[in-house]
Amino acid sequence: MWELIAAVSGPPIRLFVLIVVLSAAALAADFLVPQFREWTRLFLLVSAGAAAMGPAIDAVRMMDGLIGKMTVLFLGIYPVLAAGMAAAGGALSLINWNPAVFLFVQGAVVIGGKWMVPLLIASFILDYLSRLVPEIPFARISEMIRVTLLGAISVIIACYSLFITATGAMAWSSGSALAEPLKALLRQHVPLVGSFITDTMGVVGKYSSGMAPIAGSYLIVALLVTSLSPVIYVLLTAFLYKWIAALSEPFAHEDLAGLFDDIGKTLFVLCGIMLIVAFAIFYTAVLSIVLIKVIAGAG
Amino acid sequence: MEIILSAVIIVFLLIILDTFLPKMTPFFLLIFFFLLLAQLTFRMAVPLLQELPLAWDGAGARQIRLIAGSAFLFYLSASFRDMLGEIGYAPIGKLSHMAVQLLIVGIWLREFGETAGILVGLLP
Repeated sequence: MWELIAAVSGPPIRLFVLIVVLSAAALAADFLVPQFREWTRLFLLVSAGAAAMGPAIDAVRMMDGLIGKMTVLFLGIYPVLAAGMAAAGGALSLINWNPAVFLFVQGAVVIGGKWMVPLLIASFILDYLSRLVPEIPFARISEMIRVTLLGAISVIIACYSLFITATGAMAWSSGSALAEPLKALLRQHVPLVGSFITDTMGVVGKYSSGMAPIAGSYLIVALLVTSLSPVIYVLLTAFLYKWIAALSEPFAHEDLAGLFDDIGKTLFVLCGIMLIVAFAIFYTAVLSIVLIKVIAGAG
Repeated sequence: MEIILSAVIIVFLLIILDTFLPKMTPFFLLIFFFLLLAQLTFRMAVPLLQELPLAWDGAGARQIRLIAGSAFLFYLSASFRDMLGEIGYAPIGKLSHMAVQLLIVGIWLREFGETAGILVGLLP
């Protein structure tokens, strides 16, 4: 965990040093040559903007690679999984699975890769452009993209929960336990991104408690950590951007601080997309475990 | 200090010139202005800009040098433009200022290209 934090916080700390140094240089230039003010602002945004995008772009690239790998994994593993479950008759009675779930999981990942990540990149670029040229603002478009993506993500996650509980892969002890987090998801996703993410993580944790008798709790914890580590990576990066924005606000140019704030917001949405992929990984692994248990006769 | 001293002496000389040869004053004003500007540039600004890489050699050193250099170029050009405007040749001053602005844009073109490359590389 500490290695993860160190790996995540290294680039943003370097970025913060760069921002401090460049802001100091720009302030000195403004002080010595006041006529140069507009140019200083432009050059500061150009030279810091390229560096500022770095960790965010790394996160997006990681997301892209993960989605590509997941698509390949689904294509490879799901026919085997489905055939194995059909062959081992016990699996059908155990979890009463629905083939539509597989379609849905893969569809969610493909939607995430083909639509959500490009839209997110567009919102990155629009944010940067509207900070670079304030006369041509794209702030509302990028805000709308973020809100739309958050809505789509919460709907997909709600469908995940419905599928998983309806097929009986993980049994709920009570019905209200299902309804409450779903409502919270749909109600809170627009204004409060943070509570959205924590709620959804709680939902994953509840599934794992339902699975524990079948697969063993240590295995479930390991699966959870593995599938959620990209989410934690992106979440930490987003928080670091917010921190840099908050720390550099007093001395840096206000457009620069605003740019960091916007990148942080966009990364929170990326964290939501990452959560869909994490769900897919977790779900696939759990189904494989169930199948192996059934084949081994322990189900 | 030397620059202040030279400026005072130059102003004295210009006042004397103004009483004897009023028509030649802009000519001498231009010469003295150039002398002062050269002194400012080569005695103070250029050594300062050369010290800059030694003072900070970490992240963003290249951008700092670029910002400092282009701000100084801008200052030189703007003061020269103001000077030419003072003696009544404002259009020429504006032209030379425009040339320096284009020069600064040319210096920064590589940075612009780098940023644009990152943004375009993001697109799928």
